[in-house]
Amino acid sequence: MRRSSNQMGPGGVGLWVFKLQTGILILQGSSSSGHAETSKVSNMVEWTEFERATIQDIFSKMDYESVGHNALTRCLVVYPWTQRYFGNFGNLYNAAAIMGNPLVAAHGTVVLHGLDKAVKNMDNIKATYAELSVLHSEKLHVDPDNFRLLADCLTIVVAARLGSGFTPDVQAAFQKFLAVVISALTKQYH
Amino acid sequence: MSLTAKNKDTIKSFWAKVAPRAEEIGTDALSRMLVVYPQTKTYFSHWKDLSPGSAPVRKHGKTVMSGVAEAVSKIDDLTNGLLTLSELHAFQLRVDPANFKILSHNLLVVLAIQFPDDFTPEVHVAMDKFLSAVALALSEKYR
Repeated sequence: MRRSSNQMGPGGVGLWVFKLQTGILILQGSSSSGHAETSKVSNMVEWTEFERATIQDIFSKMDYESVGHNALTRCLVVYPWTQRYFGNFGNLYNAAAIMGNPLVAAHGTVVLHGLDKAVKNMDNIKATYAELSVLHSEKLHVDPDNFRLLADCLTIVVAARLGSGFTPDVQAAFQKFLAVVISALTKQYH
Repeated sequence: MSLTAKNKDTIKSFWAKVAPRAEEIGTDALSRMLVVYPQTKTYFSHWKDLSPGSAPVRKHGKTVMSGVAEAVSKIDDLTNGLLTLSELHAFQLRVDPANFKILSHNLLVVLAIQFPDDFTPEVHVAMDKFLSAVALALSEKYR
């Protein structure tokens, strides 16, 4: 098919158009029957043993108060527009104020413990976060792009804690985990 | 989101600490990028070895970091200062600009690992802004 589509001699264009129309018909035919099966199969996230062990290890040693506080602080400082969700937190005027704000510290811990559900249910993160997804969409009205911003800050804080232990493979596992969580949290948005 | 005078001071003083370890940092950032974002390997199909810390990765990490060093020295006018590099990326390398963000993220991860105490939130935001500005200057000639 590829060969003939490049040959634009007499009749070549007509042949190409015929193949295009046929191709469209085939696509329409398969989309109605094949789509449902495909989406069922692609539901499961596959984790390697290394990835599972890495996630369990990182969170079992996690200092939730410190890491949560630092990650949220960083998010509010590095991406200041995220402060829009914390209008009732009081003083967020500068980095020092944010770092010293007890509401930020407390909330950082809450958010990090929210990840525990995913750590304990790695094979069913999507269902586990259905309610939290609705909460973030319907009640908190958080732009899902912010999940990625916080995830990037969390990655950087964990990297600083683990130092050389945060190898490229560990980083890959951690970022994959966060990506799956973000996908689940975004699922119920409409 | 342009760099303030304070941002520039922060960047220059932090860079003074980074410069002596530039090669190591560039190598580590590139290694991580190739592992964590495998799609970036498509730009290096001509390398024999894409594993972390390999010879081509080391060499290229050094090249990238000398580009960043040049950007620091031309921090007051990145668009004009990086014109040649922009032409290189636009016409020869044709790296999709989305990848600049990816490499920047990995550079920040390495900086956090190498400088756990110095890479404060203020330094982090200044460096993130700087790397975004560099990416923008590099994209200047794309279209």
